[in-house]
Amino acid sequence: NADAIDSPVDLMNKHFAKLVEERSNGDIDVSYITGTQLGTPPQVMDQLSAGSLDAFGTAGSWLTSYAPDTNILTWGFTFRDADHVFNFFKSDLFDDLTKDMINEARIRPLSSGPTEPRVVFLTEELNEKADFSGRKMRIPQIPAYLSLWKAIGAQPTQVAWGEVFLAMRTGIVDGAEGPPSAAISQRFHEAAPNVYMTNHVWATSTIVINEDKFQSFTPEQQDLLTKAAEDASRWVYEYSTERRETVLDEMRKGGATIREIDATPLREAANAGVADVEAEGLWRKGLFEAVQKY
Amino acid sequence: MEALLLLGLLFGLIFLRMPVPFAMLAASVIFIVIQQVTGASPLFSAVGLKIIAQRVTPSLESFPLLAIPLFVFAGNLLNVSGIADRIFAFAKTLVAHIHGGLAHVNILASIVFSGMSGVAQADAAGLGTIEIKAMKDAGFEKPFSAAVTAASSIIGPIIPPSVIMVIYAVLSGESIARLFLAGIVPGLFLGFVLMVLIYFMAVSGKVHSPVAPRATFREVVVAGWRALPGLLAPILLVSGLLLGVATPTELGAIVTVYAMALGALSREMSFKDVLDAMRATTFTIGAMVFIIGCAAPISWLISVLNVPETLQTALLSISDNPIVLLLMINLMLLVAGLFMETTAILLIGVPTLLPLIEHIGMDTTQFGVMMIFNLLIGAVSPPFGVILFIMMDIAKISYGKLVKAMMPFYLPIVITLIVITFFPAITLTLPDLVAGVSSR
Amino acid sequence: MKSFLKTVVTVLGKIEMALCMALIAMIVGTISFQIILRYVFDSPIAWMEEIVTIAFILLTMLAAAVATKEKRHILVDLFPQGSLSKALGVIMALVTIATLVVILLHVNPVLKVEMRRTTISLPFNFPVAFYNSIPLIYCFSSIILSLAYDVIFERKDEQEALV
Ligand code: NA
Ligand code: NA
Repeated sequence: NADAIDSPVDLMNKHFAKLVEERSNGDIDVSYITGTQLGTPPQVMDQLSAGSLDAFGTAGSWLTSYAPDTNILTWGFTFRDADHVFNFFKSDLFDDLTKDMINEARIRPLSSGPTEPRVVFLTEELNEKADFSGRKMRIPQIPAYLSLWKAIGAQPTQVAWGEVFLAMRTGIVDGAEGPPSAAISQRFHEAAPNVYMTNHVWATSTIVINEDKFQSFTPEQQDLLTKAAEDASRWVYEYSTERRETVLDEMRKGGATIREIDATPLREAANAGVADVEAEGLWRKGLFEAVQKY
Repeated sequence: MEALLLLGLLFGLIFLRMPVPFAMLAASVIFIVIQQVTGASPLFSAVGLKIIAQRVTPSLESFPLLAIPLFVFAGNLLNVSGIADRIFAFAKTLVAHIHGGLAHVNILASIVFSGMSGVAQADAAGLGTIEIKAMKDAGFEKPFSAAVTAASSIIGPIIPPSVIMVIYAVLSGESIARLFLAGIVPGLFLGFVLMVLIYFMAVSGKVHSPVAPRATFREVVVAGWRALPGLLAPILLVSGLLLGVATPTELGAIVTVYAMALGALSREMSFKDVLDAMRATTFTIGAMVFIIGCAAPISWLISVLNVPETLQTALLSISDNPIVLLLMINLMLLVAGLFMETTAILLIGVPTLLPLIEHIGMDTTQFGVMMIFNLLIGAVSPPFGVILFIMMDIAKISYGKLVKAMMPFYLPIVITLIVITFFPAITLTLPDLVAGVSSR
Repeated sequence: MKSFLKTVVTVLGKIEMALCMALIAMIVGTISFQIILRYVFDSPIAWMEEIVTIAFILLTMLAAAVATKEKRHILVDLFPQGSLSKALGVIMALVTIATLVVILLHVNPVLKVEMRRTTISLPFNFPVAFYNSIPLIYCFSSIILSLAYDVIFERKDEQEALV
């Protein structure tokens, strides 16, 4: 694990470990390491690839380290809803995107799924046209995000996650975005009380395993692991959905205004940007179109 | 159990005179080899020695850490810019007439200088040389002068900028800006209680302290004007933090450029001085930042061994009273600080203690200031206080005499530690004021 | 042989120092430039941070090699200067060499993995290995060389407790 303790991903991993130990009657012993001390997620992916670690549960966006086509996961409005995300992860298309990752980097995704959609926090309200142009937005250092927010018209700015709160408070950035359950622990809603339910990107989770480790198990054990991972993915989705309401309520109590927003202009800007990023090679040509079929 | 073996190896190698970064690497290597040979823990036969190469450089991949070379470089530039002399001269016109004389000047100058310098050692070595010489010339006893300088040099890393706070922030995920702001009041408080102690020592005649005549208003203004660029630097930095003009790393670059401009304008700094400052910075980075990389495999192993959880369970089984727990943690850190190098403890201690701190609901910013303060006490205490070694060298006195002269100063230092530990307001008021919220 | 090795170690040290100074200048310059871009032109470049972070890693690894040559690493000196402390110095240098060699012997799988992953925000694909395992290999090799030189030719070892 490389996420904060008691974050949804951390809880998913604990759930997965519990399921595996229970169902294998203790034949498979999982020693789970929590907290952020092993390294950043891409670094932990490296450790997994080299076999220093056996398995890793993290945000699906980190699959991009070894499967660049999964950049599409972090593009805006790629998915209609949670079922769309689930279906995509179960599809042959996804298997094809991650084929090289399994064979070359020795990292196999056991299961992946959605957690919750990301929302926007702004210090100042949006105008009626929901126009982001000129707003300095803090976004993660992921290429699809950079391109997406440029396509939307905002000005992406680099700020470390821990500094975002003060950056919004002092005006280095005008806003930030993220899943509510992660944002609340950083008190985003206190610095930027205008919360817009843009739901522009589905945050995802994934459980990956070292391929050589996976092949060392019997077929029955492999099935057990895969099934447990699938159940954990489903569990964390349900947990996140449930928790989202509590979190939003807490934000309201903290003085934030939660606003529904017609995301059509954003969706159109994102869709219009697809051709450009596909030309740049952020992911393979025609992939956006193909994902829409699921 | 395995964790004790790992720490024992590390401590043993450092004790046997191995440089700290190499001792950290060697302890990890020997530990993993022992685990593999004895097969005691099947975990490590799979992990293998490759994890060491996989942690050293990746752990340095952090933009906030860049504040370290910047603040170190800025500090080195300021040391050659002649500003330390001017700050000292200005402080002299303000407080040299009070009972305690130049000892007060020593502390006030440290407070001002700490607003620019990021490491205690730079303060102790740069400004310290000026201070000790001035006090000696004025007729102060050498051990007392050295002790005042040592005690006041720990103000440096408490008041921003502070390299050690950057390291803590990166390890804990805490905001650097928040930590910097949290350190200001405790730093001023320590300066104040040190001055109170010196006043009483002077009045009671415990130390011989010649007093200078009160400076005229004109003298104050002239000295103040000459020191103004130096006084402006901390003001720039703190307002930069308060107003959020730039991230802490960027502020490091701004202070560096400011120091260069300062040196160029005052004509006291040559191009060669700039190159020398770069060389000195390289040595500090090679020694200090390299340790951050070399500590990473040990933190990785400590995580995998679940040490934080074990420690938490152990401490909670003794008591679940937060006050008792905090006293125990302080005691542990103090003892660790006495025997080990500051950065090394921070690198191993933060990941180990943080879960417990979050469990008892203490603010991690306040804990950061408390932990750093503890480690700084170690740096001015026997047996291995690095700042004491520097003072011995500058003042040319024996270790025994210096330690004896240090004794009274531990009282205000420990009072400050207790205040930091049990009064969150002293650390958190300022950052919360800026953030405009009550603390978490 | 001795004078040849001495030349190699000295020249290496000079080159490393020069590179470190250049990197420090580059870091200060780049970050200042970025601040100007943001405030004057209102358009910061997103991958600047990544470039200086890479420079920082290279700087640290080179500086560690320099610090070894100049005996600037932090050590805790418990024993009085004398034959015991000299002997310990030699033994610890040998243990350090052995440690670094062992680490280097296990670096190959890491290198392979890091060649496969590339940077995130840079406008071109740059394998992580170039700023992770490759500088590490260089740094450790340079340290081994200078320590070995010290052990073989300069038994004097008048190291002080430096901080
Ligand atoms: Na300071
Ligand atoms: Na002082």
